Amino acid sequence: MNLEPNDPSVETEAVEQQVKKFRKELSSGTVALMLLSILAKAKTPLYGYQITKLFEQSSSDKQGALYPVLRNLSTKGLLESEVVPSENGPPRKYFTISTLGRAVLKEWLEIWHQTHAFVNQTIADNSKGEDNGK
Amino acid sequence: MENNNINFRVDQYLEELKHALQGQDRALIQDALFDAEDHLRAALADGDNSLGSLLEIIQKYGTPIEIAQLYCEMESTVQHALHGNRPSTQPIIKNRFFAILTNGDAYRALLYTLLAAPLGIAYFAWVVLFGLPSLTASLLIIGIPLFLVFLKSMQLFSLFEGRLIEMLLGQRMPRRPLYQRKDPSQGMWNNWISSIKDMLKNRRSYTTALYMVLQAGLGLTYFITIFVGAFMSVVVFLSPMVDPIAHAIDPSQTIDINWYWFQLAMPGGFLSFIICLHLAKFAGSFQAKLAPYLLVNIDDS
Repeated sequence: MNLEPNDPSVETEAVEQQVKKFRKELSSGTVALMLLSILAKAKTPLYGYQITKLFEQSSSDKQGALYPVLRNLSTKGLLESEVVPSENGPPRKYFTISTLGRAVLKEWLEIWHQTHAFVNQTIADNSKGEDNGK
Repeated sequence: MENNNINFRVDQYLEELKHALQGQDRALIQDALFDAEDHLRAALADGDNSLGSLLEIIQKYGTPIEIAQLYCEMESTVQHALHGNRPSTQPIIKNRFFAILTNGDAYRALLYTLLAAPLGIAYFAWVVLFGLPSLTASLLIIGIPLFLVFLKSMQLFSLFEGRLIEMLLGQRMPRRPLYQRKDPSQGMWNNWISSIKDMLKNRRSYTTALYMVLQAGLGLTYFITIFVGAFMSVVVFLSPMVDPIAHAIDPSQTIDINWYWFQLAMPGGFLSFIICLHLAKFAGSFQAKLAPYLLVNIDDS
């Protein structure tokens, strides 16, 4: 089969690759923000699996991606963790947001809102143009 | 028995994950295995605990290769967060012998030599005064619960010592305890029995006790040769300056090393301080190699 540069299957593959890359870059910035936000809102400490369930509906990322981020945030002091034994199951590691985490979250939210607004404004013109073209 | 199939499949997943993380820090591997098993077990317990749901859970969690990649990527970020940027510029002092004066690692290792002695003695006392008697008392049944408490304490001590070693000697040590498998269908008593069996079979409990016993000797050696050596070097270095002044202020203070000895005392003190720093760094890297070997065990069941 002769694959030419504008062969649809080659293009689809290239597009898919770029989509994957974009998704990864987007989530690497936002996952930490979402984790901090979830833990700030939580009334009780949460453990890993509980947190992944809260991400379930929205993200197409693998759940396993959250654990290294949780670890990273803990190491930086934004989260506090405690291993608690339980009767029916294994000891669980529970996370709560720290004071530093709350302060950092506040700043991050500010940046998010600004970025969000700016990005939307920029792409809105672009999407409008596309609609007109169709 | 489906439970056995599920356990087998979970073990298989963890083996693949361990294989995918080959070459990484032992402690990183232990952490990754803990997170994976923790998640898979929690998800299974949340669902219908079937083989089918396990496959779905793995699909959502990520394959071993995907997870390994995530941990490796995150680890380089974590290392950066903990230790900051290693200065890539030229060192201030070019000569390798003298360069150690500006090396933070050596001073942290020196602090370790100070702490290692009292800690080593405490560890040794715990093993000899509690561990051994409880082991022998176990022959009389009555000692068994005490011996189990001792084994549990080994796990806690190894985490504690691991944190100390990571902070002062830069060797990555586990940040999570060992995963303890509990089967919810087995009931509390059976789970307890099997976790006790795991603890007894685990090589790590015993190698940790060995480490504790060795630490007394090692800690004291480090302290006497390195820390005291460094301390005395500083004293000898400063004495020609400090002693005469102290004597002038208060004549009852004797002059141990008078000012005219400074030509010998100061270079001598300076050189021996540098030698002690080198020894500290050497001791630190020896300890950093010994500790993971005895305190971290990723080959356990």
